[in-house]
Amino acid sequence: MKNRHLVFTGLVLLIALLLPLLTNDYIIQVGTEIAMYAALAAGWNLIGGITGYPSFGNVTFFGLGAILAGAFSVNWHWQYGLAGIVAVLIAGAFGFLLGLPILRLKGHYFSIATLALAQATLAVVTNVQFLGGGRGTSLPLIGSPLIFYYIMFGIAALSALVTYLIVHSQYGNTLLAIKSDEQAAQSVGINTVLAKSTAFALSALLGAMVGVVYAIWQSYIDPPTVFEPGITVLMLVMTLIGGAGTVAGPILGAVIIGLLTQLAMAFSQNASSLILGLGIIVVVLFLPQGILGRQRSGKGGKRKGKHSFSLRG
Amino acid sequence: MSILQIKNLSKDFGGLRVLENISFSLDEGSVVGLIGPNGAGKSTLVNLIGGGDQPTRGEIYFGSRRLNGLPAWRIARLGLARTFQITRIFSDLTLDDNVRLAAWTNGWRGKNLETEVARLIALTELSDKTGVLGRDLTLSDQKRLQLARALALKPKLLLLDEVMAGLNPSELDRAIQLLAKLRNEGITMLVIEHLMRVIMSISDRVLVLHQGTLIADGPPAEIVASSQVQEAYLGRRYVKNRGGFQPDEPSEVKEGT
Ligand SMILES: Nc1ncnc2c1ncn2[C@@H]1O[C@H](COP(=O)(O)OP(=O)(O)O)[C@@H](O)[C@H]1O
Ligand SMILES: [Mg+2]
Repeated sequence: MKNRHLVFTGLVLLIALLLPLLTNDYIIQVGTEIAMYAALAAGWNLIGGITGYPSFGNVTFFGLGAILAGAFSVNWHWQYGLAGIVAVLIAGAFGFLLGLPILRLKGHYFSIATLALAQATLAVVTNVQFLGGGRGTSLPLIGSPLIFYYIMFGIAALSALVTYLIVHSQYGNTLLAIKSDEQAAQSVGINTVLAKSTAFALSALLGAMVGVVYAIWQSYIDPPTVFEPGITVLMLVMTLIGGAGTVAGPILGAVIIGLLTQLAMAFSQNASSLILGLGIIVVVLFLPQGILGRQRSGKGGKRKGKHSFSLRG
Repeated sequence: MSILQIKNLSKDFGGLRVLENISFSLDEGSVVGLIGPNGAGKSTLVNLIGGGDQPTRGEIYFGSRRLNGLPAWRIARLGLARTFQITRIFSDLTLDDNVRLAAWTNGWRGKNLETEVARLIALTELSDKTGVLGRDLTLSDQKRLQLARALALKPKLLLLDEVMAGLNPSELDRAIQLLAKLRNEGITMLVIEHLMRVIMSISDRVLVLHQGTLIADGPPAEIVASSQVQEAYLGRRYVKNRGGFQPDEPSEVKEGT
């Protein structure tokens, strides 16, 4: 099983690294987008998949990363790298502090609160001149499409690595325990509030990192675009399709949705959302745990050797 | 020396008074049975002590530490462990990861961690279920797992809420032996159990809860002999087996008052 993981990981890395050799701008563009969404979905998976708190507001951190990095570099003339690091740290801290109250809510209440969070943050951003206000922020054109491809790919790989390390640690088991039964987790001495907020902060850090790179890649930041609720929905759908709580699931989901969207757009713009919708329905009906997720079958099974596909975890 | 002190504890759920002015203390190293009919408030009491809920009035001391207002996880870290009547296990974790997580959270590391996990799993007779996901365990296994998980906290005080319900007679005997062993290790226990045979054989002392009030507190033999307890809880059948109880006396708990 370990070997198969290694072979799979190696293959993905090889394909991703060699992809630019095709040196087709369109392919590099699509590859960058897929890597970007893979990283975002992996970040969402930490709180929504592993911890069991389906956030509908994770775009907040993506947007904050983009907006803050842009504001620091344009208004204060910071080096973009420094602006990005500070933006990511602020977004992470924001996620942690916000998590303390918001993660007390359960189920739908949590989802609605996070949805409101993204909208509230957008409202604040559009009313603060420093953050670009209603006009948005233009950034200098730097780098090449290829560089952004590799950076996004690097963040996606980092997200997968972070997920892998968490899933194979007692911290990961702590989050799974919280997802199973929060009262039971507390009864064995787990500070659930701290564990959950940390997961939310990690999710925020990864999302903000992607946002920082997205802003300079696009060289223009439009607040409504970077706080678009649809971006959170994509993170969620990709994770669920690939397999919530798994390491490779969000990445697989991003690749599938990314490729399907491109295919559909070749036919017509509208077809892409139709395909997305059909994809969600198929998964919910036939693979409720996602492609790599552990499908719930009969009772009394052992954990190992029970599943035909074993790339999870 | 008392390890737990409950002072004038009351609990209301909305307008419903579930516990009324409860006071008692537990001596260190003792095993105390807590009995009473369904709905008497036993689980609620355990939940208040464990920090799962806050009392409406009254105070709880664990040693010299006041527990009121502390979150449940802090109380657990102090060495006060509990099980749940309606089992709560980590369904996405394997049986051993359930125990391992509890031990790891409470400071066990490395080789000691693995040794302790194996010891607790063997102690609760779950060795053949290693690797099975929590969600796939039978109810009886889940009850044992809750005990193993609670013991991973190295508790000074253990609150057991009907851990033996549903065991067959031979399993019951072994469970009683296990509790005796834990008591020899110095763990103080508050044991909620319906079977009088279990209560009689393991308790130094028995508390009787009836409609939210403590109606009796004494050695097991005295409790069984008390007519008030017989009326409130033990009912016709148990007492009849022992002889000397009027058959027409109501065996059900009376409503009201
Ligand atoms: N969370 C709650 N909300 C409202 N009523 C409750 C709650 N928990 C318990 N009760 C009520 O409190 C009473 C005592 O319940 P419980 O402590 O479970 O009794 P026991 O464990 O002795 O059977 C019951 O009438 C029960 O319905
Ligand atoms: Mg009960």
